[in-house]
Formats: sequence, C-alpha cells, structure tokens
Amino acid sequence: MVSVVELCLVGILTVFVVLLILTVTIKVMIELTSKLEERKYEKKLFSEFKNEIFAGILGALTVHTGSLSSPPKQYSTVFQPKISLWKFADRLRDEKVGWMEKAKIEKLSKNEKFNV
Amino acid sequence: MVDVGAFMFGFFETGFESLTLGNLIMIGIGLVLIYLAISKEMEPLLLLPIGFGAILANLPLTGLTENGGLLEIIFRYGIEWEVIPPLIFLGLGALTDFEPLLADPKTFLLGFAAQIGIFISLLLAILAGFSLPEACSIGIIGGADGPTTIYVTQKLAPHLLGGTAVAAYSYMAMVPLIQPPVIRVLTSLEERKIVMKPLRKISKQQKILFPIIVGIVSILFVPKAAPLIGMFMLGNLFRESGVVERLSKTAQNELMNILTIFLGIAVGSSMTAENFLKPSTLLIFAIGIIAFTACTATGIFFAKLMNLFLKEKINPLIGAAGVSAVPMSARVVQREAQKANPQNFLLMHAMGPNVAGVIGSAIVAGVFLGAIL
Repeated sequence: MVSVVELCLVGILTVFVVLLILTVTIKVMIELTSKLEERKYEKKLFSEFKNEIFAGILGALTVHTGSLSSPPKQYSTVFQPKISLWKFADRLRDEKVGWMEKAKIEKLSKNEKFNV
Repeated sequence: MVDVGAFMFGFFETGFESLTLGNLIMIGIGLVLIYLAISKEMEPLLLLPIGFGAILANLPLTGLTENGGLLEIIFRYGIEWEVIPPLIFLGLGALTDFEPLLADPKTFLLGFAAQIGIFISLLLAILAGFSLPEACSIGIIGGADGPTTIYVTQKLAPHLLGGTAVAAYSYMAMVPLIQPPVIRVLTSLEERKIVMKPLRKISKQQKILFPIIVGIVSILFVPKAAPLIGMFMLGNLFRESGVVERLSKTAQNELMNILTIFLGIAVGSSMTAENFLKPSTLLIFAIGIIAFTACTATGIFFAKLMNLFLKEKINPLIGAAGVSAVPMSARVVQREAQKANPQNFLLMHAMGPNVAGVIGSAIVAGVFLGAIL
C-alpha cells in the first residue's frame, strides 16, 4: 500500500494537473469555437446584406412592373439579365417556403409527447 | 417495558425484550435527524429518510438489515453494487449549469484548491489513529459532496459509512454557519469588496463540447473516477444537447427523487448501534468539520495567490465556493460579498469554482480508489 505522504503529494499533484489541463483545454475550446462562431456570424451578416441588396433590386423592379411572380413581358426580350434575376427570385421564394414548412413540421414533432 | 412480554398472546415474539440501550440511543439520533430535517430544514431530502432508516434499522427482530431483509437489499444493490452514487451524479449533471465555469475557466483551479483541505484532514485522521483507507473516507467529507463520500467510504471503509455520510450531509446543511466565520477571518474588507466584471456569454455548442471534453480528459487521467465523472458528464450532456429533454427531465426529477429515497434509507440502515455508537464516530464528526473548514480556507488562500499573477483581480471569496456544496457555498459567498459591498454580485462568479469543486472532489475520489484498491 502507498504511504500517506506519497498519497497526499501524488493526489494533490494529480488533481492540480488534471484541472490545469482542463482549464487550458476549455479555454482553447472556447477561443476556437468563438472564432468559428464569429466567422459564421460574419457570413450570415454578409448573406443578409446580399439579400437586402437583392430585395432592394426586386423592390425597385416590382414598383416598376407591378408583378412579383413573372417578368414583365414588355421587358422579357430587352432585359435578358433581369429575366434570370426573376427566375432566381422565384426559386429563392420557393425554397424559403419549403424551409419554413419543414421547420414547422419539426417543431410540431418535437411537441409530440411520445415522439421516440 | 420488558414486562410487556416477549411474546404477544404466545403467538409471536415482540421486539421489547431485545431492545438494547444502543438501539434506544440510535432511535434518539434518528429522531434528532428527523427533527433537524423538518424543523430546521437541514438537507431534509436526505436527513429525513436517513433518520427514519436509522430508526427502522434499530428496531429489533424486524430482520430488515439481515441478509435478505428490505433494508439490506436496498443497501446491497444500491450502495455495495455502486449503483446509487453514480446515478445521483447523473441527476446532478442534468441539474448543473456549467456556464459560469465555461465563461471563466481559470476558476477550475479554485475547484482544485478547495480539495487540498481533503488531504489536510486525511493527515489529521491518520494522526488520530485511523488506517489509510479510513482516513481517505473521512478526509473526503471536506469535499462537501455526499455521493462521493458514500462512494469512497463504501469502497475503502464500509464500516464507517453511517458516520461519514451523516457527517457529510449534516455539514453540507451547515455550510451557511461554517463558512462565513472562516471567510471573515481570512479576508479583509477591501478584498471582499472587489467587484468582478460580468461573465461572457457561452454558446450552446460550447456547452455541448464541455461535458465531452471533461469526461474524456479526466477519465483518461484518473480512470477510477469514471463512474462519478462519467455519469456527471452524461447527465450534463442530456441537459445541454437539447434533443433529449425527456431524459434530462427524468434525470433531474423522477430518477433523482427515487435515488434520493433509496440513498437515504440505505445510509440510515447502516446506522445500527454496533456500527455507529463508537468513539470513532465522534472523531469522524470532529475531523469532518475541520475538513470543511480547511477546504474553505485553502480555496480562499489559492484565490489570493492567483491574484498575485492576475491583471484583473478576482474576489478571494469565490475561492471559498470551491467546496462542492452546490449552490449553497456560492450563495454564502454572494451574501458575504453583498455585506461588504451591496453593489457586488458574485453569485455567478462563485458558481464556477462551486461546480469545479464537484469535478475536483470526484477526481480526488478516483485518486484515492486508484492508489489504495
């Protein structure tokens, strides 16, 4: 059996080393994840900014043409780039609706009491 | 009393004749525990079933504590088989919010410092004539962690279980009485006034990673701490993952309550007159209170030591919360800090070392078991 002094010294040292390593590991983890989250947030901000600009363009076009779902016929041949923009806007909207439906279903299934 | 008769109508034996003075004293102790639980609200969840368990264990001829008796079965499968203390840690993990510790990881070290008191008490117990395994079981009382104390004692010195468990829970209930004088003696008013800046926000991702990292790292270093640390971290992962709310709630409530009943009864059942009424029990209580005081003191001293190296000073009071009486000692720290400076809010800062203390005492338990078994 170990001696009392050995047990005390080894015990104190072990607890100190383990908790010190945990301190450093957790600190590193916090720093890394914080940086990753910051980047993610920046990306999100940037994409929101892009959406804002896009919405601005759409808004301007809507005012101009009075329609959101299809490009105005009178411009369809003249403004080809705008037609692709309209198609892109429609796709975005569809995707958004799909995503919202999915989120709703997920939320409902989580509320289900016996959902194993 | 004895004349009531050894036999009732000649059909069966009554307990009156077999009642000893030791039994009566233990029944009295059980009643005191029940009184403290109900009237003084001292750890009622534990002291009440312990008190009643002690009464039941000391009523003669019941067969409850004999092989195959109800209390013996609860004790055997709950404590001897090491089921209840680790599962209580599962519930504790599900109840614990590690955010304050994550927000300020250096408070992990205060959780270490408070454990030094355990080793001081271990030395005292050796000087008082206890064997090394017994001294470890007594020293661990200073960690202020009931399940850890029971877990270690059952493994190293099962005959001391009643004494160490009751001492641990009684002193945990007395944290608001034991810690303030120690805090006031060891810190100046200026130190108690130190204000700490608010803690940073912690993301869900970080909270999820915490139990995984702590579980793996600490168990790799101290494998014998696995039952306690492993369950503690699993419970916390239930809580933080957010995808097993039912399991988390069960661990926090139903499971924890069921285990608390069994733990209390099992500990109470170990308090038979022949086990408990010994001079060693008084010594356990005496060293236990020294252990508590020493752990509080070493936590404060270490916080002061850290201040020598830190740019942003910490309030040394939070070192006192390194004992793992969660959240009682953190509340004591908050109260003492507010007495010195009503604008000082240290509760969340004190919760960091407080929960680190739980991890620290479980690691000490693992060290004891690894070295001695």
